[in-house]
Amino acid sequence: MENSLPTKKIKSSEDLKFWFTSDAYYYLTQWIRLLSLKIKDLKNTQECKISDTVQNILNILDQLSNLIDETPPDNQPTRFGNKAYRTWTNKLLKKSEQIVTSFLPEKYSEYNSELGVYFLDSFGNPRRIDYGSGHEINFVCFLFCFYKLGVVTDEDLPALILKVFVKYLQVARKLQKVYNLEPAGSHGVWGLDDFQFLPYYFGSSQLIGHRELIPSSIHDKMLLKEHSDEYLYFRAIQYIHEIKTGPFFEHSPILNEISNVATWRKVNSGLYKMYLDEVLAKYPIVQHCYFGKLLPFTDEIRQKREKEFKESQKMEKKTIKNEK
Amino acid sequence: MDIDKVIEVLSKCQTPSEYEIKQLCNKAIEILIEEANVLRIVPPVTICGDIHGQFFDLVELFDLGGSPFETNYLFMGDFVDRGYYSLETFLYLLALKVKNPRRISILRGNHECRQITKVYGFYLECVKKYGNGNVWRYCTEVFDHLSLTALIGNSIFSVHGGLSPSIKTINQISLINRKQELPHEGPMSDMLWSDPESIQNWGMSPRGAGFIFGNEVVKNFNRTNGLSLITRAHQLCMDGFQYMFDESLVTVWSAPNYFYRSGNIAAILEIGENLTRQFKTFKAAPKEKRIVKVKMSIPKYFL
Repeated sequence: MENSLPTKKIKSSEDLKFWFTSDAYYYLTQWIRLLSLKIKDLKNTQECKISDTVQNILNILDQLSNLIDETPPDNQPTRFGNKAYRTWTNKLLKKSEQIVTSFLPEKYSEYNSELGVYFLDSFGNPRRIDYGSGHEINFVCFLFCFYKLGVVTDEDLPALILKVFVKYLQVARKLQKVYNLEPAGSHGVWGLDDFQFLPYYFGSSQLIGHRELIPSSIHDKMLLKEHSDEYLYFRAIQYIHEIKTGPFFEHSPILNEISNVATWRKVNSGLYKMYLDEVLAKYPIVQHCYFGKLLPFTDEIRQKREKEFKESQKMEKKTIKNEK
Repeated sequence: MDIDKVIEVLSKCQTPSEYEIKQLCNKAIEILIEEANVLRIVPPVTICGDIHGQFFDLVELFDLGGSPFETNYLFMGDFVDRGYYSLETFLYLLALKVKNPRRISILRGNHECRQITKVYGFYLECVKKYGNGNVWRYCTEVFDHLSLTALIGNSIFSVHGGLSPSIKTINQISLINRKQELPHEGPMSDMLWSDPESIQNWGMSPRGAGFIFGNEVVKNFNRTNGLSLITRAHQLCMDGFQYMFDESLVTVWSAPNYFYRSGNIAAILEIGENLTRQFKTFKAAPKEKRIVKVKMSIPKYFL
């Protein structure tokens, strides 16, 4: 078995076209839909099955959070972001072998380093001292790898979002605040959020069926405070208020418009389409995506479907002929 | 086209008709097409960095630096994307350029291209304001004609991003065919995408385009070309500007409180007749001066 790690494959517009028909694209899009489905109507505080594998990821995220406490921002002159972030990243890299080799049970240990590539690039870029939706994608890919290998099953999925992804966001936001990370590739007023996307998509699913909270409830600061621990969407909006200045409609017009949508179900389905269009279809983001054995840059699924389709067409013609 | 009328409209952050925009862009291209890849500028001149559609902050910039009808300006690119008023911002500067081509100099930034503006907001803004992509097309054609660099008084070199491993001397820049969509690689792309970094030589850029370049590279380039300073933009600066490499390179950033969260101030760099340097900084326009009149609608995904 070759020992190659996931690499970036999208380097041209041809590669981009291929990406849409690729197995990795299929797996990733189905993965986020599945996760959204599994947390429908569930709060963060929902009791979930937490396997050893999942608990381990939670422990690691706690470690990363503690590492931030141990690495306070420094006073070095800087262009923008705090350089202590690079120190934090170096500390993470020093611990990386110990972290990465703990991900999977023994029989899958050959895939640990594959997961390591996604995991280690989920927390921002130390050169640029920035963070963006590409880092968020890496974390979601990291989680997918467990599912693809069968180490995590359908029963574990609620915990992956309600506990693991929630904690991941806590770490990411702590990094953003403490080290003043720049938004990487933000679309400004034309985008959803400077740093994240999926908390809104997953978060809207949590609220489908809620009897009191509707999309426009996000404008109520009391409701935000009351529900930000329970719901990803509300916490995301609350976080924006913590870091942006000026009226909400001015600095976050897209989120403001989405608050006029009638139901969370519509918000959820709209955000899925928007994610595919505004994140996964954009070269500046996906040029940084990694493809390996578990998220391969191949199109076997499409080829298989085409073959099956041709075969079914042949069968149909044969049947019609026989009937005559 | 009545250029004074167009300037008047744009100065109030209003948009001219589609037809006027087409005429303005055509007129601008006539002027830009004659300009070299390296603009020769006689000081004094005030150098500015990224604006990114922050029209009301551009107004603050002119309040601070002096009227664009009386002061020489050099803008180092990235007029569009991310802010509400990319169109008004770019067209206003273009109209000022058409009115007084010797006074206003504008360079291309990495956002002045079709691929990037389709992702980061300028295209969406054009369609929102005009119902179709025509105005975007006219502007992107102008982008293709924007100059790449400037040389001020023979010793200050200005470019949006930074240096290229393919370019050792300023003369080599003249050989580039710039009148095209920004390529993904090569010297033209490098100059609009690269960043300085605390290293000695060259490195891969985490942006996925251009390179990072360090102290030795800058010192050699400056020595070879008889320069005292490289000015560039492209990266957010908390203090509006940042020197590197013993003040042989400076980043100038002119979009204050970027993303409504950065809390950064913005800067302009005034180069005097004798090549003296003075930085002036400014904050975001106060609330009363910032009119948000762009009515966003519910994105199509939710209809």
